[in-house]
Amino acid sequence: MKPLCLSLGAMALILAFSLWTGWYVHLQTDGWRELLEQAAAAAEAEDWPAAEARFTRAREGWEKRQTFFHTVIEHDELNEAQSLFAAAAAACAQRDGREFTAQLTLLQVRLGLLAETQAISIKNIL
Amino acid sequence: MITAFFRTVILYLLIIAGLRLMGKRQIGELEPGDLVLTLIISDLASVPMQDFGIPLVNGAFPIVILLSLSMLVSYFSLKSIRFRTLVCGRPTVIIRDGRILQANMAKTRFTVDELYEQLRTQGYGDLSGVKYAILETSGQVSVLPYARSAPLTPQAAGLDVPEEATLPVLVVNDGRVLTDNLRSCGRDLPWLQKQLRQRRLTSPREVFLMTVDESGGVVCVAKEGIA
Repeated sequence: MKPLCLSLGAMALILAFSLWTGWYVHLQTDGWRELLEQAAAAAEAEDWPAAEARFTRAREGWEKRQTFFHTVIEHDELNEAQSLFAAAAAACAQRDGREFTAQLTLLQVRLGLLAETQAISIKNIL
Repeated sequence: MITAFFRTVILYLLIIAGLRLMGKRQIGELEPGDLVLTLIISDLASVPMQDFGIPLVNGAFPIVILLSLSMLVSYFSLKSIRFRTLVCGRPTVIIRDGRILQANMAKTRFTVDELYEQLRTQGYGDLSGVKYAILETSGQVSVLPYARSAPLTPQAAGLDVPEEATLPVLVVNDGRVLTDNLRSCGRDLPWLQKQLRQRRLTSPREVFLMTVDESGGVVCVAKEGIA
């Protein structure tokens, strides 16, 4: 009975952790994407303080969760998103509206893809 | 490099723990399923060890899942004969009364060369001495010889011999006293000291090996350069 409980328990634990990870990554990236969308809208309206504040909030949230993200997501994918954050930050500092919006769009797509890699779906499984 | 160090240690410990949980059977005999499992695990472990871009859990989780599945299969194989047959197959008789069962050989895709190799390994040069040969699920061939070809035993010769085989218990291993073993065979430290004195030894540290069997027989090997 012990090996049965042990193996079923280990598998249930991993399954639960995987499902939770998928949910958590989706929740976090959704929040950041929303902030980035608001930042892009503010930049288009030339409201740079608001754009910078929202972008910074998203970036800080992203930085804060890097340790956990690095334990569950392939580092190459995270590095790409990190580069986009850096490029967007540079565009924001220069108040380059077109470049900033373009980088934010790419970043939103990248964050969406990150969440998708952790989602339970036929597409991912197959 | 420190990442490689810690990852290697973690994965190594994980695999050792997993293989220990799987039981001795899995380590000693590699059935086809076990062989596949071992190969996959070694591959899974080596990737995150070398590629730091891959999270450790990407290697560790599949290993734990594979070991868990293997334990589940072992458990259900133990509980259900039908399940065991489904997973491991069943032994196939390939020689009966000295005659090769060609249909069974074909069914198991076991070649004549392989059969003869197995027979030679077990000391049979031809089929004349073999009554049964059974291809086991592990891929090994068990050979049951005709009585005329079987090694002579006291029982076959009608001899009544006293039972001599007893299980020796190791009580001193390279100077270390194994107190649990000593207790399990009903002995204690004063007994050990007495045994040492009889052999002109003063301490267990001078003993390389000491065993006690069920009939009370003691084998003591002193360390070289001491006795």
